[in-house]
Amino acid sequence: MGHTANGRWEQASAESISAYAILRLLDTIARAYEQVPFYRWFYAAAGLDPARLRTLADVRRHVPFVTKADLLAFQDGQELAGLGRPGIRQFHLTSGTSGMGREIHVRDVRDIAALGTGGAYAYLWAGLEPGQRLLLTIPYGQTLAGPYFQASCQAAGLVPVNGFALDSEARVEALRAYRCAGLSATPSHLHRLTAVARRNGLEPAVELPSLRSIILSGEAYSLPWARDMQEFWGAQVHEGWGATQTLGVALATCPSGAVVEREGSVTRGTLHALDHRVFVEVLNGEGEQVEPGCRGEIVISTLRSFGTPCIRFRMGDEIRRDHRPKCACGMQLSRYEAGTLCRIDDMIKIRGMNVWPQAVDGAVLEMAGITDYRGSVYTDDDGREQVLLEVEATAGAYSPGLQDTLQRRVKAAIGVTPLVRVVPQGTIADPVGDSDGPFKVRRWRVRRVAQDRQP
Amino acid sequence: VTGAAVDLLTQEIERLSRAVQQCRALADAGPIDAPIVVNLLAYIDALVDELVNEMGPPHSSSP
Repeated sequence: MGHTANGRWEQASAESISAYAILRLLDTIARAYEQVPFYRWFYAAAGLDPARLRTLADVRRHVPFVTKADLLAFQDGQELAGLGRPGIRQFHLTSGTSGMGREIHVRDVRDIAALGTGGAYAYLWAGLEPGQRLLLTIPYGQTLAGPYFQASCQAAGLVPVNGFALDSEARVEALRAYRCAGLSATPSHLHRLTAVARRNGLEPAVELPSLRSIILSGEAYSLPWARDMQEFWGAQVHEGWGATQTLGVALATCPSGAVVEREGSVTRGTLHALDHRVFVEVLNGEGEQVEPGCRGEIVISTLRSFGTPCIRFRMGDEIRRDHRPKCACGMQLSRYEAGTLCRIDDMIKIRGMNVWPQAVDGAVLEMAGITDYRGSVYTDDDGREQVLLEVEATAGAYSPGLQDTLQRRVKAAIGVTPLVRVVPQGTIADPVGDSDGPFKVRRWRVRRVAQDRQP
Repeated sequence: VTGAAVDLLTQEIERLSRAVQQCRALADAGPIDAPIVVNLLAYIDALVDELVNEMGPPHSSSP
């Protein structure tokens, strides 16, 4: 183990980690039932008495999964979703617009004290050291991201460089000017920064000698792409995964990084779960834990979250369990393959925002005279992530201001301004249906460079 | 956990003991409205809880 965050857990045996996590899980379920109105309602409806749970097998047999729809259904009947509960000190909305609504996660002082610990593991395992500077690029709003990144820097002893409001050129300049040791970005945004740096003739080895780690989050990426990034920037690529529901990072790559080169071969690195903070299950369609090497949906139970704990919450993300018998770092924390995390449903990540196509459907198709549209997300020649909407309109609906109106409506719905091209009625081909399950129109196509090159 | 960490924790406990004595003396002198003190104490309590979780379960040499 090269860089350490907390040897207590890094050196613990798998048995002791598991025993501790299960105890905490049982305690969390009992506490949530007593103290959190959602679980009082949800478990009562399911006929669950948490006092009767004794083992992990009991939990798996009796504790129902929670989904976004469950949280939203409860929110609907509550004034401000528990914001008025005593002791609440912050609240965070899930990002983007699903068309279903945004979850409200309330936080008490214990959540605030715990907010940065998970992220600190990611940063310290990435080799960053107290006092060093980390460039942050994710927006600070009412989502968890802003407070989480600040708290993670504090927990790791890092100095945040807040690049939220900077454009890509200025962010690259901030890396140089503040001699940043780390950069936190989505794969798509790293691709954009790389294009800007290359266009400007930047030589990271000469001009960014302090940069040692890039921490990716939010999207899948290919192994060759990650290796290219590592070579260009002269910095080790790492990954962290977390969400509003997990109160920050739940999985992070160990000091070996996201790309492991050993004895002439290149493989994906290992994400380790912070098992003493979040209980992670990776389940197949029947709700059973998948075998190592197989993909499944991530189901999480927070062990350090108090205002809105998430217990057996179906994330809608899938990941591959690590197929290797052990990790070279020696840690016994549970293992997953870096870069394999992606969405199960049709949510698309656009510029770091979660976007569900149905939100765009509403903004576009509810306009009179609009008959259909196709959306695409792609990386332009300058490395920018772009959204193009080709919108089919009747002759009567066409007007010189139509493009602007559509841009404004979509921006208001999803927070991202698209490029819009209006085409005559009949131009767009019939919609493509889902081959399995209920018919669902496939209007979207995603072509990103960071994900295109498969290993 | 290193000896230095234990030393630091011991120092913090001693500082908190002194703070408790001050609070008692103030309380004896009459009620004082101090939401800042209450909020800071709640945060200290939450931090201690977080610290205990990161150190593993009590009465055990390893987690």
